[in-house]
Amino acid sequence: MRTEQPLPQIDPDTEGFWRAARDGRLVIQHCPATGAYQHPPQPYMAACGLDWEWKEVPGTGTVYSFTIVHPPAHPVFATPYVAAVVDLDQAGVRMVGQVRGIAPDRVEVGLCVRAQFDVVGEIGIPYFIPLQGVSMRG
Amino acid sequence: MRESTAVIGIGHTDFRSREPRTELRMAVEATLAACDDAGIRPSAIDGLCTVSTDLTGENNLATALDLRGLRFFAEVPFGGGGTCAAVGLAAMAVASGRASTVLCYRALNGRTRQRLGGAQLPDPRFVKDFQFYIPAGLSTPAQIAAVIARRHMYQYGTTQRQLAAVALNSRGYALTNPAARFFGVPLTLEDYERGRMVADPLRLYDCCVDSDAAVALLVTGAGEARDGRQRPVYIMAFAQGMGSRTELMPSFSRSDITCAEEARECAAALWRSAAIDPRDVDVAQVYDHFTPMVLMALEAYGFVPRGESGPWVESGALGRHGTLPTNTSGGQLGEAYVNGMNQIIEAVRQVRGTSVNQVPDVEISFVSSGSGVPTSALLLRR
Repeated sequence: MRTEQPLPQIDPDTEGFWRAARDGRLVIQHCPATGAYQHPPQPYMAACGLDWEWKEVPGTGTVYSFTIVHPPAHPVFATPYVAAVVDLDQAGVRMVGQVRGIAPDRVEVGLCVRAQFDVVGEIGIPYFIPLQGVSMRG
Repeated sequence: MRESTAVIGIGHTDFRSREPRTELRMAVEATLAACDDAGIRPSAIDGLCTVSTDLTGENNLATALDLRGLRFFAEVPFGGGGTCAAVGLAAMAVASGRASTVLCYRALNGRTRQRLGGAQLPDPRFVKDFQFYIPAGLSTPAQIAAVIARRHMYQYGTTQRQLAAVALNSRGYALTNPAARFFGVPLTLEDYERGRMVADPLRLYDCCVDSDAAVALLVTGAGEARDGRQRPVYIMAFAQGMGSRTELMPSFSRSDITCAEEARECAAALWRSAAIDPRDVDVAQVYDHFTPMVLMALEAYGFVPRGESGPWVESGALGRHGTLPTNTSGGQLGEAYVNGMNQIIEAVRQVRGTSVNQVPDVEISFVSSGSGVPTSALLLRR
């Protein structure tokens, strides 16, 4: 059984996201012409075809939905933990990450959060903490 | 294609056995049962259809049954979303003259090999979809369904008791189905509430029952079906739908994750193809990998308005005397999890009039495949 952090299988279409996260930056696929954002990244954007760029965004957002995970779960994660879908401000895209720094049963849809990063080797993995009232490190 | 094809035989293995069997062995057993039911020899089979996640090689099944002269073999992608489409594809093959007798099958060692509920890493083919979820500890279908369910609860006030009502409905039908895993095992609301939390808000009995089983059915032309051993069950319509920005199974980038967009698209094509509407359906089998997915599918297929499925189900609408008796063999929450192929043969039995939980005077029988992934559905008729 694997007990290390499960890693994303990175490909050239997504590498920029994971590398920026290593440096504590949240970057989202962006079309410079129309201002559109897209996540998860794809090789193509409807608005600008193949000519998209990575753009750094603030990393704040609100919880759109979530689950409190109990076993069975990947053994590296201590249960219960919160896995959430977050509506990111500015970019208007959704991103999945754990919500830490708050008791799981206090997480609600609409909770304001901001992104943090776990650094694992050459990449960073985003998670979220409450924007205000952080009482403990998760 | 409309009503030019029919299901002439159905078969399945024991759903309750704890004897380890290979998937190939189970596929053979289910096929022999379907041939016996139809009154044909396996050598009459000249086409094979399954879903791409099935581990039984078409050549292995053909060899095991000594099938010769196969003229058509194909797989539909997306596992539980594809089983109705496998039957639809068989019907298209027959209607277009590519084959005369097509076997549709699904064999799955879901209990002893591929646990749906396990936290194993997914099939390598799906890593693109899971790249942004697995590192966050969101990987099992139950966890993903839980995220979708919570949003439905937030938007519409759907309650845990309404999820429970889906489970209790299926288990109520399973109680009187001798083939079901939960035959004779009642489930009360108190039992449900004592079930351990798996992925909040989903509890143990919100999740289908991983099983080792195989199911098979046979599709032929309508003319041959009329000369068969069983009352023919005509394939009235089938449809598929994918939805937008589709992933397996989160699709969190859609504007609203609670509307089972793939099922809505499938529904539009299905009702248009059959030229009927949901009120014409007498009995339904709705893919029930997780209780909230049933609620959202009932809305997507138009059996109940958007956001109103919870109270509707809680009122008993899916029960024996309800508006729409649903999952009458116990479904995958009560009978067995076989990617819904067992629900398709229950839809057949309801048209024949041979279900252990028979709904009176069934003319039109509906069955849907799994939502949350690209999906499909069938309408069968007398």
